[in-house]
Amino acid sequence: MGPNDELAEELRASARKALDDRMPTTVLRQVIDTEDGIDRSLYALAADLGWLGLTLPESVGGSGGSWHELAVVLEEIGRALAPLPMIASVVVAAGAVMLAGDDEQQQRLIPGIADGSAIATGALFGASGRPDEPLAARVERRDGSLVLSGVSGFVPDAHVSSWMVVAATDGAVPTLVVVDSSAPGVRIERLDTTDVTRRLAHVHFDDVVIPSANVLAGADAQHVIDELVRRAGVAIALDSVGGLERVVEITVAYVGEREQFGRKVGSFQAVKHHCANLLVFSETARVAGRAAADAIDGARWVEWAAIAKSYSGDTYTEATRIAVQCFGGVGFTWEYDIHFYMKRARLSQQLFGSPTYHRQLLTRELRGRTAD
Amino acid sequence: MCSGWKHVDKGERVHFDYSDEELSFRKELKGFLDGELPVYFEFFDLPQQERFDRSMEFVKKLAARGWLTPAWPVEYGGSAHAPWQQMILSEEMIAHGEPRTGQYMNVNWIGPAIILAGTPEQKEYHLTRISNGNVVWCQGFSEPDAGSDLAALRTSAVRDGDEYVINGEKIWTSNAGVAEFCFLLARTNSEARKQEGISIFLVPTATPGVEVGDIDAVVHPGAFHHVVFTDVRVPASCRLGPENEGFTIVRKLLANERVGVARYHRAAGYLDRVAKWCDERGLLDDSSVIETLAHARVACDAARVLVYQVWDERTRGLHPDESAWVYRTAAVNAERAVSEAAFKLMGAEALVRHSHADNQFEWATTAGIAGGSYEMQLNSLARVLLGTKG
Repeated sequence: MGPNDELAEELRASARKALDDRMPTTVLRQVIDTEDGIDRSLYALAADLGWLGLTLPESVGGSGGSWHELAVVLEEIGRALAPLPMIASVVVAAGAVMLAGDDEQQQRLIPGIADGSAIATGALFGASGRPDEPLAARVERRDGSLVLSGVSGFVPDAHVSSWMVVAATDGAVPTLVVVDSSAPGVRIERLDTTDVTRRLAHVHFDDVVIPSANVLAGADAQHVIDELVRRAGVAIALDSVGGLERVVEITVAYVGEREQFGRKVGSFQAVKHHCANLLVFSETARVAGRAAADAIDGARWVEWAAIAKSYSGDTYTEATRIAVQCFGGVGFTWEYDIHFYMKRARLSQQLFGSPTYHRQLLTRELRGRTAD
Repeated sequence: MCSGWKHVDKGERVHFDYSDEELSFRKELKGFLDGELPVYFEFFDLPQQERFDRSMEFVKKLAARGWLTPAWPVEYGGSAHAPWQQMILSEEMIAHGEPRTGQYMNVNWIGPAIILAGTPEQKEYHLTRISNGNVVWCQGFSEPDAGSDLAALRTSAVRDGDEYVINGEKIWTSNAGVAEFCFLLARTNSEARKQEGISIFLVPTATPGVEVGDIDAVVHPGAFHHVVFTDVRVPASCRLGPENEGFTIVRKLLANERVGVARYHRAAGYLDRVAKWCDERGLLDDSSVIETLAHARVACDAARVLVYQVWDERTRGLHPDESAWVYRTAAVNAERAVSEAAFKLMGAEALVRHSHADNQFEWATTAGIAGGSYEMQLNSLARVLLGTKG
């Protein structure tokens, strides 16, 4: 137990209670059927409980906490499958402005994120949504103004955003600009995706004029994009830790009730082995995820971020596949909840870099270190 | 001309080849299907009624060409001695989105069951309709508390004069919403050992007291149903085979069902589409992409040769339970391997609904459950290996 653990456990208890009360899966089922697929009143509550401003500085409306506490909230959100645009808004969009924005930009944009009055997102990749493929958005100077065109693929929560940070090429190098989501020339194409608990969109830019005050020029854009991929990747890993924990609970409960051949199906060795493997996945993902959260900004951050994201990506999907198998036919009915986890796991595996991508980063990082 | 496995001196199977005749049959069939159906057509993407209407229309065309029941005996509308034609049909149909929908079951095992155990009247009525492509059946096997443990089923059929009165509930009943008949398992003796008190009934679904509901599934919406039987009265002439001996007949049939659907072939088709997707993006020079595709391809082809072996044994009059279990296990692995490869290669694009990956993901999700769980196949194999009672 570290120095912050008492605080973290209090936070966990209050987050668990809030999400159990406000986002049981009976409510989740109603929310995913709505046009936007998010619960704005729950988002307002998240702001009141201080989740949104947790890691943001006090000078811009945050509480200056650490990722140790944010990890707790992200785990609980993943456990509850809560459809909250928190990773997009807080980790990616606010993260970009804090890393690369100047004081005026931070003062203008961040308080709204911290108090939940604005939702933002990051459109950091090319058409395929992969960090290792070229950007498909670009900026040009035309008649004295900066004009954005092209596309960003698989942008989370773009449909509910009021602004977004867009990575675009400026000649040969990337740059980051803040784009008003309702600006002329921005078109948000909603996607029908397998995971129903989160929404993605392709965002098309057709000669969108970018005011010079919206260029984030305070740091090297490629470094910022790389750092945002790591942070969002770890955030997804923590969401997966919470999901895995719940998958173990509901699967063990089911095989302990369901009978075939006059016995609980959990008494069959094949099923016991499945359950044991689920626990191994869940516990291992948890220590990796928390190690990464505690490593942020430290010497081994890059390494732990890659480990946490790649491990959780593969094990959450494999665990949910096994869990559906343990449920048998009811595992693929709407009535049971396990499919929500299966589909959330699949998207989590791919968002902000696949396990393969993060393993490549890891190898590169370790190789670089040996060379030093 | 050689069909099936070629044998060498010691009877070892060494090589598989289709005969020229079979190859030209496949070519002709493919040409017909390509003309009838759009590329990458998926019958499961259609709403239930449209799926049914289009399938009925299609299957009649198939019957008119003699391509619905080619493996059946001539007297029941088949062309006989063409078991490998049925394998080719099974592969090509599934590669084209299975336009027969539920009627594949009629061909694979419902018809054969009636041939095996039916009265002359049952054969005359049902086999004619099946081989003409005029009827959809559903399978009333699983119940809420009898899944893997099928023999624990509780739906009852009580004799009352010239009739039986049926009560109970069936689940996972594909096509029940449109089927005219249900191939129903019900308990006719509750005193006997659980496998020995079961009979088969050929129940018209229009009989009063039969009620069909939908199961809201996350894969293949509109495909699954449950059917409730409340005091359903059917004439005793609806019973197939002797009273209380239904499970013996079903055991033989389930062996057909297990190898009757060329799921590995559909998976291989999706893999081809994923490979094409990679090619279009210039990814095929990447050694890890090639390896991922090859890994899944190997899994599909392994399942393919295993089912050919089962089929070969069957044409030689054997009842290869063990190799059928091995095949089915390998087929589930193949379906999963293709699904995983598609996700790995396509990334987030795999998660757009009805992408090649998303379609295969749905099939891979049900693969290890529908038609008997993966773990049950392993249990059966372990029982053969270890000789223990499971």
